[in-house]
Amino acid sequence: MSTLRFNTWQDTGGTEAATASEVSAYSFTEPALQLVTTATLSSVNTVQIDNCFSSVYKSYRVLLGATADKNCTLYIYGRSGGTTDTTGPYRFGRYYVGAGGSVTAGSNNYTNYGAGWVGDGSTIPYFGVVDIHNPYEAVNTNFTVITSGRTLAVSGTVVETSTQYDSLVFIADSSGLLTGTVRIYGYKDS
Amino acid sequence: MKLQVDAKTGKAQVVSFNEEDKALIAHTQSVSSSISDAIAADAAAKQSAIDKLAALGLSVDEIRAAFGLEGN
Repeated sequence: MSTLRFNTWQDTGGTEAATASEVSAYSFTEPALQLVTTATLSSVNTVQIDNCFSSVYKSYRVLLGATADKNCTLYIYGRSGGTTDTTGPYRFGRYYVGAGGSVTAGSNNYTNYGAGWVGDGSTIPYFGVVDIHNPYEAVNTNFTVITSGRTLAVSGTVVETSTQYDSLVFIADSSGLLTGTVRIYGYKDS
Repeated sequence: MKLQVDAKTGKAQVVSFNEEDKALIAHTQSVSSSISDAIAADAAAKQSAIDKLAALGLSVDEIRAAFGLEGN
């Protein structure tokens, strides 16, 4: 469902009630990012978000803010029809500044996608911005991730499959437990 | 534990791992380990090359400068 918001407003007539001419003079603008869903994480290892992808949007943004109870890396998988895609291939590269390991871009053919280092058991917050392009289209899906926290990580992958994903799952390796929030937005096309 | 969210209904619930989840966690850990091994192998190869250059009396910076290379 779309939400209309006033882009600008000015009471040019000096009255609180808007006149017809005042209303017609101002534009209405839908936000470019539209919330699909949001959830709160409380010491969970896995976050599965069903039915977050659809034909409504081609591109999505996921905002994940969390802390973890130990050193762990967050992995991302697409899901289709109730099945997690553990085949991919997820061809990715990852560059770390700080602790962690970088992975040469494009040359790796893995069956999941390591997006970034989540935490170290302290209260240092991790914040990840994940842009996903074409998950629901029958073409390759792209993930681009920038994370900050214990490390700065920039990573990206193209999943070389035409599988149409309707859902998403995040998993912390090393049995890490995540506490925080996740929000998924759709990019409005026009 | 797993947080399962349905974007259509907005329903969110924390559930125990089922067999599929356990298999996925094991898969993730396996690939994570292989990635860590690959990173360690890359680092070892890089250090080996640096050591060989040093044995020849050369440094990485000298090689970069000679070939006009920048960055890492």
